[in-house]
Amino acid sequence: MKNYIYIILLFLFCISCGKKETPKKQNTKNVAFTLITSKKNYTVSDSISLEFSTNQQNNAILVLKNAYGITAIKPKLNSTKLTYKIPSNFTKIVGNLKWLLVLDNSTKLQGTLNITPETNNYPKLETYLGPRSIVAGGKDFSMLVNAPTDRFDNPLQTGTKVAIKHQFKKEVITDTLRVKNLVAWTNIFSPQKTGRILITSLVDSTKSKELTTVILPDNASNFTVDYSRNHKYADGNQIITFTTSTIKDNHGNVVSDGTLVLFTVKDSMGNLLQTNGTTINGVAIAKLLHPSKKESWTVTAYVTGAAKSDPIMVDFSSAIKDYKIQLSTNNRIITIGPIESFMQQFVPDGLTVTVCIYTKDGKLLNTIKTTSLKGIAKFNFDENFYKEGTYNIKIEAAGIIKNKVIMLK
Amino acid sequence: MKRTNILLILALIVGVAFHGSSIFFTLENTYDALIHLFFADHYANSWFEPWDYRWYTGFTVQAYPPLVHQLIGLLSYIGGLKFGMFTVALLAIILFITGAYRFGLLITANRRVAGYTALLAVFSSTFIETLHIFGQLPSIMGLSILLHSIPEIYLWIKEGKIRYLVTSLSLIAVTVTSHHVTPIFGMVFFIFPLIGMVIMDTAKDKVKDTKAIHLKTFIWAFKKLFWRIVIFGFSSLLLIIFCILPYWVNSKKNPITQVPIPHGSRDNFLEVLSSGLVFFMIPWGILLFILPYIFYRYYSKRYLFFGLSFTMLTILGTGGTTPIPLKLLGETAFNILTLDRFTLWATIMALPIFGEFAYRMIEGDLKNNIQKRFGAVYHRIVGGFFMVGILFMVIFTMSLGYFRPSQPAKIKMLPIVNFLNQDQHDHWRYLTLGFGDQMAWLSAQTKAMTVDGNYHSARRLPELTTRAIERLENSKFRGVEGIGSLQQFLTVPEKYNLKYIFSNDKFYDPILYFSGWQRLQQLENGIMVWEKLNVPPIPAIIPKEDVPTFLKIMWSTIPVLTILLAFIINIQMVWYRTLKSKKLALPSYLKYKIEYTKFSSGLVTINHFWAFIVMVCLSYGGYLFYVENSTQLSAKNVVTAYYDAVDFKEFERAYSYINPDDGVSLSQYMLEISVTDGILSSYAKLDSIGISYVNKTEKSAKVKVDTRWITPLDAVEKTFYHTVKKKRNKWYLSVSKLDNDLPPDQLFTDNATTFFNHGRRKITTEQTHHEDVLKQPVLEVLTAKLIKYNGRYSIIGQIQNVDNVPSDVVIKGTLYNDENKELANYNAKDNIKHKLMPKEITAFKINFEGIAWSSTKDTLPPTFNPDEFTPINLDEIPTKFNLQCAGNVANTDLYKKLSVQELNFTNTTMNGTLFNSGVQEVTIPQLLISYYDNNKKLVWVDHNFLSEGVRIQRKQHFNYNLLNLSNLKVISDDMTNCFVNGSPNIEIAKKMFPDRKHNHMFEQLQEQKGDGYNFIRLEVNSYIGNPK
Repeated sequence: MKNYIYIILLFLFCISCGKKETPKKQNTKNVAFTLITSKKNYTVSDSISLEFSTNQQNNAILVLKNAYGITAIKPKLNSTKLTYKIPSNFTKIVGNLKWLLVLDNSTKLQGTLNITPETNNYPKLETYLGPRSIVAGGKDFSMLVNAPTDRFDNPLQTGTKVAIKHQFKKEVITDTLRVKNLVAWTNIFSPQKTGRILITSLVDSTKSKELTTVILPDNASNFTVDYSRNHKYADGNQIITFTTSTIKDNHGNVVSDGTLVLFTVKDSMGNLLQTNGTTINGVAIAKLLHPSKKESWTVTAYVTGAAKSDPIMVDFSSAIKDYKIQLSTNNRIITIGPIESFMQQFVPDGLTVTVCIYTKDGKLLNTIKTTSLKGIAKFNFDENFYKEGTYNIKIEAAGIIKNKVIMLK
Repeated sequence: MKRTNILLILALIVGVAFHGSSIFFTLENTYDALIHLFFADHYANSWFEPWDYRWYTGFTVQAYPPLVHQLIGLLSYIGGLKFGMFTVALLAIILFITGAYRFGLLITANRRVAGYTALLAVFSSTFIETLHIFGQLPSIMGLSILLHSIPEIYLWIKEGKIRYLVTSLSLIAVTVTSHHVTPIFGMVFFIFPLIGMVIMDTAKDKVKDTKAIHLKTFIWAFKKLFWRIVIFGFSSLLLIIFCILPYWVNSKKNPITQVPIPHGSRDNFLEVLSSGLVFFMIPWGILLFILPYIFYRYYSKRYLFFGLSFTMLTILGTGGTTPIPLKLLGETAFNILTLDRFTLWATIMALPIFGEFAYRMIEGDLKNNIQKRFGAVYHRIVGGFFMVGILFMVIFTMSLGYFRPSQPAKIKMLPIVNFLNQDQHDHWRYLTLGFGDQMAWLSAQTKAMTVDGNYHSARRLPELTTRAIERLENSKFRGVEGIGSLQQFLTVPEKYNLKYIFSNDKFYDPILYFSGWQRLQQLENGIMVWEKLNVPPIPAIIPKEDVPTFLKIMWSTIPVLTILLAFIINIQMVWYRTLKSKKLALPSYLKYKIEYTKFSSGLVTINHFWAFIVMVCLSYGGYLFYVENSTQLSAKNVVTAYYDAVDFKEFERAYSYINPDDGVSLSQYMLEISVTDGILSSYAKLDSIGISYVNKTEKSAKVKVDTRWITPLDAVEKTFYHTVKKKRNKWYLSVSKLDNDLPPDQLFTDNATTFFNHGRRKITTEQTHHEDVLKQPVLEVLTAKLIKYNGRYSIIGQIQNVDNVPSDVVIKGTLYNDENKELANYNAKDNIKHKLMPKEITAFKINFEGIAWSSTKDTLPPTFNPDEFTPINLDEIPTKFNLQCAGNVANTDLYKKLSVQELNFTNTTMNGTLFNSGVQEVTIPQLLISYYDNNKKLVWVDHNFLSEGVRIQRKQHFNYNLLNLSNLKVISDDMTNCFVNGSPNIEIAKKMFPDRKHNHMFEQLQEQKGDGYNFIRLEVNSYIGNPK
């Protein structure tokens, strides 16, 4: 209980300490001010003081407004002369600086100062260039934007000169831009040829860094396609290579490396095969295997949407004319071959041989695929699965189909 | 004055030496330990703030009682997190052994028996499993303290001294703050029977003989103790609520509305033998042999309630083996609780009786009984049997983690931590794949955030909570739901600011590739980093769920206070007791000591009989195991075994099933295996196998094997035919024929353009300089349509990279209705080539996927299907669409050397051969098939993964079933809302391709009439598993 008394006493003591300050009432209606300082235009970072004379000593405050904000400052009093020193964060900002002299909530005087940027005291230069890659041909462009500022980051005055230079191949072009709406900008259009343009800007004595835009080739124009192969036979093993001519755009530039070229191959059945190549120095190479039977291919290459080649014809003559079929004594092992190629050599390993087994009534029992080894393909009809009896078989290899009736024992 | 209990000291020394040294080799590989470490790291870094941003896009740690985590956190200030964890583990070991001693002393009132109990507790297989395999530190801590509190509770109820109420409540408070489930169920299963025992003892005090206790005396005693019980009951209830109040508030606010996660302890142990082993055989261990004795003792009058409780626990612990646990607990509790804890409690409860058994066996009446009946040698044999049994279970349990690791091999985290700290990589979320529980250890070491997490009760994203998956991280083990969840994160990573994936499991590589991710680098610890382009960084301000300050303060102060308080209150007693500095009255429970004089002979017989049954069961189990695994007993067995071996890549074993008459040598066989690559041989897991005989004779058979393989992309069903032959009573498989194809060139050259992007050229920690940011490649959408097909909405189309650099393509489609209300959005997943060379075209299709099984009515499919598609549930009919495409410079995965070598059509199928003309082995070829109508307008896009890869300069056959598109409907083909890199597509078309030759596309179409289409176009995409 005793503690409460202390607490209450302490509380009372605390609140008794406060004292409301009542300002002295002063009749300010008749106070008049005159601006002594006549200078209206300043350069940035100049020290600025505004002096006023008044008929009655007072504490009028000066309210300052610029694009960045607002503040109020107190005067330095000297009997009837009031001096206001503008703080540096307001003198460093270019533009209009509005001031109001306020006394007891009423504006007594107001005016505007104009602060202009420095022009030759090492301005700073920010440059932006984009996009960094454009397409040749004169339609595409990169935009260069220069934002020259003084050392306090104030944009330089409209009309300030910005010199730009850009180099492409042997040519260096110089141009002059003028600051407008805080920046100086221009579009740099692409030349007809690929390469890179180096760009630099200059304001007063300040230089920008080197900026680059890369000129990339335009869309491809039509080209031709050719092929090379080891022989003309359809052995299903050798590789045929399709090669395009150097693919260039309409301005004579080689298309970018990696451009995809789609080679479509129409076979004699009308089916569209395809293979891809990507260009290196404008040439795309694509490969396919030789077909395994007599074929006639029509090959067309596309840079889809932009260019294509004229179709070329590629004919393959059959490498395998015929093959033999041998049966074991109980007819359960069928040996196909030796399958001979165009020089009577064994066909390269891996030729697909298919056997379809039908019942007497033509019902398909099984399809077996195998690949040839040393020119020979073997099939074994296991007695556990194929009961004794008569079967029809169809053998296909290298496009040659043979039917046979066999009697399994 | 009693002597210091030598058995207890022995138990402590052996326990600390054995467990204390082995935890360094086991604890980090357990399921849970690292999770607790992560939580501890959270407290160490922000003690008072319960929100952690690092998991699940933010979650609250108030979802788990904090004491153990906070202790580890506190200790981590001394010697790091792992020091804290091992110290707490040591503490838990000591507490457990002493707790078992005190519990044993309470039950048996015999120091010698209690000593045996403590010693057996050290070697109890259930404790070893919980600590060294599961790593459930809080659970062990809670249980140990509960054991310590039991004697105090007994004394309070018996004697009514306030001092004991205070000590028991202080210990209960510690239990509560270390583990929430332990005190709640501990109340039911330990304290209720304890109360019953106190009442019995009080009744006995009155009637002087246990046999004389009847219901009347029991009720009298109950009435006498009623208020003490009520006071204890209510105050401990209050403690349970108060001490972890924030936990209850949080559970109320975020109720567990998740789909239950399957847990092995709910399996039928007879069906799922592995679960039976882990959740039944191991915890019970040697106790199985003396079950009759345990029941006999616990059903004596004094322990009657323990007997009931023990029975309940035993039954509940059997999980899904009997229907009783499900009925007792009800559906909800059954699916939330992990039932293995019941077995844990049962086996702990059995310890004192086991101790008593050991005492009587080694130096008591049982010894006499056996020696008298069967002779001294037999007694030694039985004793030896128990010794060997205990040791066998200890070694077996300890080695389980060694032979069947539950975790992937230990991953060095430092390279990953460094990677995340580098170059502002932690401004994006990351995801780990195949890390196991080690992901928690990674999370603990970095500030970077992941969308995943390892404490599933705190999952928040509906993509996760609606699926029965613990983590995305191990989603392949959760079948369709896992992969389904993962795919959503991979397809729309922008939604989660997910940019980096650390993959420790090759299995996920294909799905990452086909969802548009690219390999960034392999870290020095072998972890592959995948990245996704076009993902914005995490915003500076991310939402969190705040809780009132008082809850935060409660959460961060009460747990440590409880332990301080309990320490101060209880240490005095321990001090007096151990130092014997002050004479203490004997605790009243020591009055009920039983003299072990005459062991029931009938019981010995019964127990022998029981042990015999157990032996027979075990032998039969072993025999079944042998028969099932004797691989060459029948034709079916050998085929199953062969596929099993192939599935686990045990090729030498697979070879042993090959018919030796085939003349294939092991090296030849290995060679043939090594040259096959593809999704089946490299990324698939055998899901199910069905074997049927096509033909069968005595000595040979032709079998048809229907296999179902799980790959990250598709469930592949494949039928194989094998010839099987019997030789010398063993069945053998005949090898399949090898492809004899011989590539034409031994050595050949190939040239290709490669690309490199510096990233940031200036070495600076600032944001990448604007000059170093590459221009986004320009894409042009050639066609785009909204299609309704089979009741599903899809956006299909074609897009071309019209720029001069290769591009990565991300396409996001949004559906709107007539009122311009957004209905759904999704990204193109695998129906697209994500990487395009300059001027390359890809067809694409966006399927609008919903969050699977978000409504509870949907039934979970019983088997795995990674390609399972859950169409989004649209409230209204979409009529318009918006397409946002983004290109980013790509410099990897630009292999375009796969060609179509042959094509053949029937009415419904397309057959053909692919040929790989380049120098990279294509692991998974993908076909993109677009369908066109008679005006050569695109109507549908489909895709197909081939199950076998295409080796260099070789062919691969494929087979594709053409679709029936007769019920397809074009809803909108208005392309005004197609945007590329934020610019309208029309403007791009005008600028980049003012004179596009549209007939090129038409000329590239293959005429093929079918239902709903007249032309098709084929594109190939290739995933390279091991780029060289």
